[in-house]
Amino acid sequence: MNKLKAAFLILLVALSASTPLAFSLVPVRHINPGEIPEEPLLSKGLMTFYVAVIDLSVLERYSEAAGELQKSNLFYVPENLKFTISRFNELLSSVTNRLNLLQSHLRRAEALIAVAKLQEANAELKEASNRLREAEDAISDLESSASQLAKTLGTRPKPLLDKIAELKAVANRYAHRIEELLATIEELTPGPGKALVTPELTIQANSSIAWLGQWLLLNGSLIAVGGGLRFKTIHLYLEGREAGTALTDGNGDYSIELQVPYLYKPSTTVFALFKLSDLDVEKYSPCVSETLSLKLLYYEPKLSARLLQKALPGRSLTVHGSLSSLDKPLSNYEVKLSVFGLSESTLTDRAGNFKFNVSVPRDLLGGSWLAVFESPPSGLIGPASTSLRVEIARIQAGITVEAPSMVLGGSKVTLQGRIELEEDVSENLTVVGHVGEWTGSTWRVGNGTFSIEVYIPLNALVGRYVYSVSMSSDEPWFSSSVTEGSILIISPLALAMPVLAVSMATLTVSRVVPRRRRLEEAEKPLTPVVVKAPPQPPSAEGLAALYWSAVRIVSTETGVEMVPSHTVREYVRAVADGLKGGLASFERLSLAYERLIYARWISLKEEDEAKLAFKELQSLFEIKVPKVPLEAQKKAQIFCDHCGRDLPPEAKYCDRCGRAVEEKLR
Amino acid sequence: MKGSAVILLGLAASALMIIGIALATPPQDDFDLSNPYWNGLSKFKSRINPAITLNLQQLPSEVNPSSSTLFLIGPTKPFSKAETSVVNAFLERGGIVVVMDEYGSGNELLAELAVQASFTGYEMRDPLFRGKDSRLARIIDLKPSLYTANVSSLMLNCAATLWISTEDKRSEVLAYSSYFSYLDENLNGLPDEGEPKGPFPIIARIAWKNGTLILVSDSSLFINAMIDEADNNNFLSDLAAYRQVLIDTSHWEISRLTLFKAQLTEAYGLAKANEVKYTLLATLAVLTFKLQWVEGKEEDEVEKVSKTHPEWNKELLNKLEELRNEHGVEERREA
Repeated sequence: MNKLKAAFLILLVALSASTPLAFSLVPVRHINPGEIPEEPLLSKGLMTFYVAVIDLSVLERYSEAAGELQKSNLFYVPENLKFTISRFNELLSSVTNRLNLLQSHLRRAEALIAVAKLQEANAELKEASNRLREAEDAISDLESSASQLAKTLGTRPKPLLDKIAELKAVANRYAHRIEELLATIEELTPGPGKALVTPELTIQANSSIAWLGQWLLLNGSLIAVGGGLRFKTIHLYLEGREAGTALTDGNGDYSIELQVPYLYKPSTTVFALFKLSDLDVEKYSPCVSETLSLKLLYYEPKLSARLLQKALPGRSLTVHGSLSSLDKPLSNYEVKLSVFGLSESTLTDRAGNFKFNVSVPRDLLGGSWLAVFESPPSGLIGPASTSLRVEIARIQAGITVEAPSMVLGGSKVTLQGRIELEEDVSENLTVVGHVGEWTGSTWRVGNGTFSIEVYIPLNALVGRYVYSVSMSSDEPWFSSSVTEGSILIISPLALAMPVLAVSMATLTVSRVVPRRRRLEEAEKPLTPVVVKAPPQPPSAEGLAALYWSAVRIVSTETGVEMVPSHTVREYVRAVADGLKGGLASFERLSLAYERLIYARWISLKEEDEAKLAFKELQSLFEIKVPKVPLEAQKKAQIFCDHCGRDLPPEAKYCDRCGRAVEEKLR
Repeated sequence: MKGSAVILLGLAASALMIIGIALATPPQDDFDLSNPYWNGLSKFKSRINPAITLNLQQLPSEVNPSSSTLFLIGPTKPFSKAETSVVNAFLERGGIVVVMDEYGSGNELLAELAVQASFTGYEMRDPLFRGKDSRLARIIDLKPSLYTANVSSLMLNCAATLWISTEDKRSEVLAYSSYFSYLDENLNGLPDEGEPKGPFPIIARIAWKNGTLILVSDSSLFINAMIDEADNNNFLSDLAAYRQVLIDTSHWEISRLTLFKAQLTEAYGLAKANEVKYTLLATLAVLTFKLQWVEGKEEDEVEKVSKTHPEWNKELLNKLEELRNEHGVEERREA
């Protein structure tokens, strides 16, 4: 348990050490809009904005003021100020619009009075008065709202109120102007108690249809109290503009030739106006003739255009077209083209054809653009225009590639193929081949074949790799293309790695398994293992008998019995002290015996030496070895002929030396 | 359990936990293309996919500059001579390079390119035309151009301003800040006496050789928190329309977490290879096998017998073991 705690402690320490990894900080150069607190509105800036908007209104630039005010929708307004500010914007917008309308009504009224359309002018002034009242109410509301806004923003309302006061002054000026215009209308309007005479003005034209530029004869008369008014100036208006003046003759008749302007519209209007001179003010009132409608004639040409090729970025685009009227070509006429934010103009040729060579901007890599062709009017030829859509295109390339399905690491793979372009162009193209992360040589080709070699390193990992061949160009009118496929790469070096690993595994297993098995064998409880002795030389049998005879001699001499736990050498050490002079002989014999039973083989020399040692022992202690003890003959029928151990009659093997008991001994 | 095994177990658990946390935590670096938080560019990446991320020195050879837009957003690290040459070559071959910066290394690049323009480095604020904060200035004065089509306003985030030489006829200012904007030179968040007042150039286009250099004095225009504000997304669309988009990722400061994640990804990529995969599996199998079989490593047999019979000759026992190993148990049994 304590050890698990220690492991947990190490885990904690490692995690603590890695904390900076997870929460490492980097300097930021922006703020998180979702987390920052709302910044209070800067009242000074807002006030400045409103003062600027009102200033524009004071200068009677109402459209600009309205446009600026629209921008206030892009302000960030804190929630608590939203209602106050939006209400103020609403009122300011209302004031601006009403003053704008008021100004328009006044201008129209002035124009109508000028052409003696007094009733219509009166109606305009009535509308103007209504707008004025609304504007005054709105200004009053704006004033109160401005104080409230300043209070909410915590700023002084004075600058805003001062500007609103200027607005009031503008409104007052308009009110005064309305009064002036109304007085003028009143003055010019005939009626009871007024000594003015209203003359009658007539107008006629020699034709109600006219070609543009044609001279038109206009005549008429100015009559008052049954007679024509002599030497009075008559003003003629065409298309609402003064086109000329004529002086009445002694009969009050006038006549004027006017050239029809090049208006290029189906019709226009013309009328005559009698304005009062200083001498006429006390006698007559101004008057206007009826309005004549004049049909205008001119040629409407036909303009057509077409693209001759694809619009490719960075290249020139040729556009052809023609200009004609009543199926007749119009030569030497100007034609303008506007496209891609550029404008060009050219002249039509004898056949009425024109041609433009436009450079398509390099930045335009796609999209649809409108090309507008215009032919300006000239004389009796009216204007003409047409348009067409220009789709930006890019040249596509088809790439076909042949590649081997498999390649060995440490060799080159060749990607061969062909490039087919939509158009036959001679520009060089860059073709690059990739196989996995490896890049091959690049080729500069036009239409045609290519061959790219990519070197695959020896250490490339085995697998299926994507190869690609891409084509690109520095020119923007080419569209890059890529073709992909896959190749199996087999690297001998890389293949060796798993083989090595498997070999290592096999080696480890082959070493570990036998070792483990031996361990298991050793751990098993000892079971008697009966081992059949290998064939021994005849003398060896005698050597064992000699040893056991010697043991009996030694045990008799020393009084130390050989017990079952004694090994041969242990017994030698046990009897060493008591044996004295015979020790060397007994030891030699013992070691020979030991070698015989464990190594199962001794040399003849060793055997002879052992026999000699036994003889020495015999002679030293003068004891004769009994061939077979009598007791043994009684108790046991058999004994081991190798080691001399007494064995029970049913024994098949010697329990000392493990050798099989021969049948003949039974 | 032995002491060394405990330490190994602890370290292995720590390593697994750290790797797990690192993989589960999205990157939080400024402008990181995988960062889904407010300061990342994950939306930018998803809207103009496929964008090629690149190290400026390794401009892929198949890139066609004349139909590509290279974005250099918020560069922090300086530009080397070699990198400047790459940008220069990209422009020469007709590419569009968009440099978005306030205080970073953008000026170094402009100086190397000998462009008569620079980022002023002062924070621009607008008390009126703005978002929640005056640093979130709104730009409403945009000149019509290919790059500002469908853009009526832009919202900036801690922007600076541009200085453009009036003598350079190749340059054109595409966007100005409002008349109410000011440079907060003393960083007190208020317009003070003496501080320059707007309008200031914010976006400029410079015709440079065959290409176009577009300078934007705010690197944050396209971060996740800003891309959907005002018409910022339309501006991005105009810059990237019909073009292959390249974005330089080699001039940003990268956090240790991102670096670690990148290394993990690289290691995973390597480990996915058949050779490495199978070698690792084989090694793991061998280790497991070895551990299992050698567990409780057997006590030396001679030592064990010596403990029971200290009086026995150790030399002889060793020789016996040697002989037995030589001939084997099976042989003895057969014998």
